[in-house]
Amino acid sequence: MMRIECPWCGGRDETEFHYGGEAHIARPPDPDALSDEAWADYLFMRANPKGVHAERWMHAQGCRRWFNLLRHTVSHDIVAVYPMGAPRPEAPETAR
Amino acid sequence: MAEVREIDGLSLAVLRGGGAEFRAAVAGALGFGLPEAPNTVAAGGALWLGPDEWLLVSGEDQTGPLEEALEGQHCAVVDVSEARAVLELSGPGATEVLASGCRLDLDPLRPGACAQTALARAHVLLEPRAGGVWRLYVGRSFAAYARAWIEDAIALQAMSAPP
Repeated sequence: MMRIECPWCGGRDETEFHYGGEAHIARPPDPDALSDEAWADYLFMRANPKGVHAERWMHAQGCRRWFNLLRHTVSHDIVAVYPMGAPRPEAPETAR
Repeated sequence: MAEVREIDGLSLAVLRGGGAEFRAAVAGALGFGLPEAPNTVAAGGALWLGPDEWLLVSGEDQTGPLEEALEGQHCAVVDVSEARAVLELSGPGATEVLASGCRLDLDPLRPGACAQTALARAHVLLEPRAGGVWRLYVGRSFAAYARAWIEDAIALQAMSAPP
């Protein structure tokens, strides 16, 4: 069980949240112009790192707002919480 | 022993919008300002639900005057009186009953605060009121479940209490 710091409501249990997959994947502005390979890459290919991962979460049983966070996929340490649309922050050296 | 009852006849509305003009119009129509800090309640009966979303609780329908005051603005006023059930949990041990099904730390919550969380896995909006009374706003379809769960928790508490 993780404790996630909702930017609005504060620290809550993971069960109150929905996971929204990897963050910072922008929809291509003109999908028709893409090759099948590029479209498949946008749809299916994800980073899947062993380390710090940027991902989207939504506080479903709370304020129902989306936000991004950086989570270490091995330790589950959440090293940063930041708004949607903001650039990915640098993870601290100790978290890498 | 704690007791739970359902409160009928309250008028509930969800209000969404933002900006200075919106806030001024709402304050004009309601007679009080919307709470700005997350998870707080304005004395007049507005509970914070999100950065652009509030639940208005009143004895009478407020949607008419609000719609009039907000005419032409990009916002939403929705009557949800039938969509939510209002339960009131009171009496000695009420907080302990709630805590037995809720992972949120209830101790820091005082009148003037509110919190959206899960009670026995059901989404609930908690509002502590004066005199150790808790108001719970739950989805109408969860009301019977939430109430049965609370009554069960009260019975369990009574059984485990020292004589």
